[in-house]
Order: sequence, then structure tokens, then C-alpha cells
Amino acid sequence: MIGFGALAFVLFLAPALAVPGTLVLDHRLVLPAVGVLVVLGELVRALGPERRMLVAFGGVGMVALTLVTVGFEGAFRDPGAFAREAVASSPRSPLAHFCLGQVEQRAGTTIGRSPSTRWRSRSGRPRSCTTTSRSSP
Amino acid sequence: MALIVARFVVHRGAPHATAQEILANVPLLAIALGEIVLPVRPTVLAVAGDLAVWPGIVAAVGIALATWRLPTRGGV
Repeated sequence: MIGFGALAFVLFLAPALAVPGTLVLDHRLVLPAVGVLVVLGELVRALGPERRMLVAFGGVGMVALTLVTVGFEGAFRDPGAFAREAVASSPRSPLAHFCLGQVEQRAGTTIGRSPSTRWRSRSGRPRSCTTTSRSSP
Repeated sequence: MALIVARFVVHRGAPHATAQEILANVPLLAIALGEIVLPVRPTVLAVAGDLAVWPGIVAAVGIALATWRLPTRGGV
């Protein structure tokens, strides 16, 4: 079953390998996650832990994943937060920078006339996508 | 492989990666495994170059060691 799960992970992920570009999208990981869950489930079954230990480790794992989720949900608060998080976590992604630029444009931010294509916020503070990514939490 | 071929058949008009691009995307296997098993740093969208490969390698090594060391119980 472990081999089956590993094979399912690779095969479900294989079509994503054939997509040009290097964009990584989490929704492409949902089906491969099924294979990983089969592997982990089989390992837990082989380990045969006591019920209390299984519940304890499962509980700790769920709490940890909950904390990660709660800590990350601010990125989906509004389009600006999403775009800033995208640029901060992936500064080499053209799509993230495009996304941030679109949000800034809709918010009324104007593009400066300097050759360095710096953007100016409403407060007049010049900034670029690079400085935004550095200053984002 | 069949799934890759199926994608080519279903999405005939869509751009497809070349053989070199598919090979270049192989680290995505480790990245994906890391994102699933050790989701320490979620991202809303990212390119492969900005994501760490080491969580996936750690996860793969851990799973391999566990598979090797754990006792088998019928049919594993």
C-alpha cells in the first residue's frame, strides 16, 4: 500500500509537470495529497500505536496545522493583502508582481515617470515591488 | 505517463512543456511533497524557484526510513 500511495502521488502530480512555466499552485496538490495520506496512514497502521498515543499525536498535529492556517488566513483578507503576501513569499513570480501592480492601480497608485519605474503610493512614499516585498510581514 | 499523454490529448490547444521543461520541473515532486507533509510556509502563489526543496527531501527520507524500519503487518 505504501508503494501504491507513492505511485498515486507521482502520477497525480505528473500532469502538473507537463505544464509550461514554474508556477506552483496549491490546488494542484490536492489529488497528490491523497497518495501521501495513503502512505502516512499505512505507516501509522504498521506502527500500531496505542489509542491514547495516536489521539495525542493526532491532536498535536491538528493544533499545529490549525495555527499555521489561522496565521496565514490574513493573506486572504483583501486583494491587497493577497498581492503583498504573494510578492513577499515569491519575489521571483511575475504573476505576483502583476497582481500587486493591478491592486495598486485600482487603489489609485500612479506609476512614476522615472526610468526605474518606481511606484508612488498615495502618501507619496516611493516604492517598488521589491521594496514592498521586503517590507511585507 | 498516461496522465501526461491524456493532458496533451484533452488540452490540444493549450501550450505544453517541452521535454527539457518537464525535466526541469522534476524538483516540483520534492516541493509538492514538502508542501503537503511539512506545510511550514504556505504561499498564495509561487514559482518553483522561490520554494524550498529541503522540506520535501526531509519528508521523503523520513518516509523511506519509516518504511524500512517499521514492522510490516500483512500486505504492506
